Amino acid sequence: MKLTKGFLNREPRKTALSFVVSLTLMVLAGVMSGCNDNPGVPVTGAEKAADDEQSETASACAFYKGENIVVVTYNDGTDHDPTVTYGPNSRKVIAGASLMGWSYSKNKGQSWTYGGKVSPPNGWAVLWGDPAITDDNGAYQYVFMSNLAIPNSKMPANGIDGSVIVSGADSYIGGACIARSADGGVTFQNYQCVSNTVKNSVPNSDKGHFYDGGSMASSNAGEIFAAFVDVTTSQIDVWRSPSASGQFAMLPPPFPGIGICSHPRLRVRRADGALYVAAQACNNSVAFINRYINGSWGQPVAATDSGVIYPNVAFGGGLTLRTGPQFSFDVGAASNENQSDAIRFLYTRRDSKSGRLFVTGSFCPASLSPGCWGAPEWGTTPGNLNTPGDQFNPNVAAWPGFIGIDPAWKSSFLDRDGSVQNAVTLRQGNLAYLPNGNRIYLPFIVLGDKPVCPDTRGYWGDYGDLALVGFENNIAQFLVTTSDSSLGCDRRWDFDSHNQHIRGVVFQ
Amino acid sequence: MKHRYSLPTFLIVPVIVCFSLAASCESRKADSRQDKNPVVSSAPLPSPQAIPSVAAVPPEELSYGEGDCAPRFANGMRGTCINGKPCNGFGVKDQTGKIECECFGTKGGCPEGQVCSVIKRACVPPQDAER
Repeated sequence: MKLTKGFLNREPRKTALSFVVSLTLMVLAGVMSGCNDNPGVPVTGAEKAADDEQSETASACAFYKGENIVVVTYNDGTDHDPTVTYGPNSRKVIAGASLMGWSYSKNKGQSWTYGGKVSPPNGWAVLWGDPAITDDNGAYQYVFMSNLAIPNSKMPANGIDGSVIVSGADSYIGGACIARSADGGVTFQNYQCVSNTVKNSVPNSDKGHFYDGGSMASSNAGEIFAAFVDVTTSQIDVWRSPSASGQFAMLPPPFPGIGICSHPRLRVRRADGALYVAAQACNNSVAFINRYINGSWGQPVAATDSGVIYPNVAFGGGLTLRTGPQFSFDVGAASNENQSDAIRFLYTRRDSKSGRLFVTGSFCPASLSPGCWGAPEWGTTPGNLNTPGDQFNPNVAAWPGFIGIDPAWKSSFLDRDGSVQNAVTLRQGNLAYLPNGNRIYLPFIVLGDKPVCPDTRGYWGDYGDLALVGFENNIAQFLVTTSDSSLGCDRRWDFDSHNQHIRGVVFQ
Repeated sequence: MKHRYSLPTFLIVPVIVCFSLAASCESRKADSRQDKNPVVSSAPLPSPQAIPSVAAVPPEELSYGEGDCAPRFANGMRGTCINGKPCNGFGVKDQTGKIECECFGTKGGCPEGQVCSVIKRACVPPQDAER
C-alpha cells in the first residue's frame, strides 16, 4: 500500500482516524465517568449514635410546585419502637410494625430530609419492607411506593418470633401495601393493599399469598404498575391501576407455565407505553421477559443465559453477604433503527472455572422478537477486564434521550475485589458502543472500599437502586443508593447489625 | 523511505487534553487510595450469540402434608408432616405417584442444620431461608 509522506492514504487514514476518535471518546467518557471524587452523602443515619438501621433502596424522581424532588424509600428501622425488638439471637415483631420509610431531596441528592414511616393500614398488621417506588409519569406530583405486608388474618396474636416464613411458601406475609404521595414524595398516605387469595395446597394461601420482592413503574398515560413474586404459586403477580386515583387490579400471569423464583423488575417504554416485566426461572435462573401492550401479554422470551438467584458472597474471615435479585434491565435508546437493543440487561453469573461471580450483558429488541442476544462485552465477563473478585448486584438505568440531551445507558454493580477485607467497591459504567459498532464497558469507581456490616444471616440490604435524577449541562445525571456502614461495624446480631444506613451518590 | 503515521493536527490538542485530564484524575485517586480501576485485557472477547430459547418448566407440585408432626426449628420455621413423619422438606410424588419427603432433589429432606427453601430451591442454612 502506497503511503504519502506525512499523511495516510484513505483507508489506513480512515482506520487511524476511527481509532483516534474512538480513543478520544473513550478517554473523555472515562474522564467524565471515572473521575468521581464525590463520596456521596448520607440519605439516612448521618449520626453515629443513631441506634437504628436502614437498608435496601428504591428511588424515583418527582416534580411538584416547580421543584424536582428525588425520593428514596428503604427498609426503615429509624426510631426503633416496641413493634420490632432485637436481641443477639432474636427478633420479635408485633402488630403495628412498619419498615416503610423514605427520604426526599429537593437539590438532586445533595442533601436529604427524612420523610417518616407509613403505618400499616386497617386490616394489615405489619409493613415488612422490600421497597419499590415509582413516580407517576402522567402526573409527576404523584409518587407510589410499596412494601410487603402481613395481614391481620395471618398475624399471630403474640407476634412473630424470628422468621416471617413458617414453612416453604407458607409465610405470615400475605400481600403488599401501596402508599401514595400527592406532593412529590414529601408526604405519603396509605393507598391500597393487594393480595392474591386464591387457595392452593400451601397452608393459609387463602389468607393471602406469600409475596416477596417488589417493583413499580408508570406509563406516560398515568398507569401505575406494581409487581411481586408470588412465592405461593411461583409466578409474578403484576397489578395495574389505570391512573393515580384508580384501583389496582391483577393482570393475567406474564409467565404462565414457568416456575419463577426471583424478584421481578418492571420497566415502561416511554415511546409506546409498553410495560416490560422480567424475572428468573426457578430451574435454570434464566431471566425471562414479557411485554404488556394494548391490553395483553406477548410470549415470554429468554433474555439472559443461566444466571444465579440470590447467591451468597463470601468474604475473608468467614463473613458472608447474602444478595438480592441478580439481574437488571431498562428500556431506552437503541443503537440502530431496528431497535434491536432498546432493552439492555446486566446480570450475574458464576464462572465455572474460577467460581467467581461476574456481571455480564444481553440485549433485546423492543418487540422482543425474534429474541435476545448475549453481550459479553458489557460487564466483567471473564476476558473483558482484570476483575478477579466477585461482581454482583447489578443495576441498569437508561435515559432515552430528548432534543439536545443525548441518550444514556448507565449501570452499576458491587465489586468484592478482595484487596480490602470485608469491603466492597461500588462501580458504574456505560452499556456503550464504540463508533465502529463494537460494544465496550469500562467500569469506574463510585465508592471505593465500602465496609460491609451484615447481620449474621448475611443481610446488609439485599439490593440498591440506580435512577435518573436530572440533567446538568445537558447530560443525564444518575443517583445510586447503597447500604452504608462507613460509621463502623460494632454489632452483628442474628437479625440486626450496626451501623447500617443509606448513602447516595449522584454522577454522570 | 520510512513513513510515520501522524495524528491529524485538529485532534492533537483534544487528545492531549483528554489524556492530561485522565492522568490528573487517576493520580488524584491514587493519592487517596490504591487505584483499582480494572485494566483492559488484550484477551479476545467471545462472539455475541443469540440467547437460546429454553423449555418452560412449571413449578413443582409440593405437598405440605397433614398432621402436627412437622419439625420446628430454632428460628421459628417449621418443616412439614409427610406420611405421618417429620419432613425437613416437602411431599413430592415419586414415579409411582406415592408422596415422599424431599427437598428439590434431596431425597428424605434436608439434613440436620439445614432447612428447605422454596425461594432457593435447595437445602440451605436456616438463616438463608429467612425473611
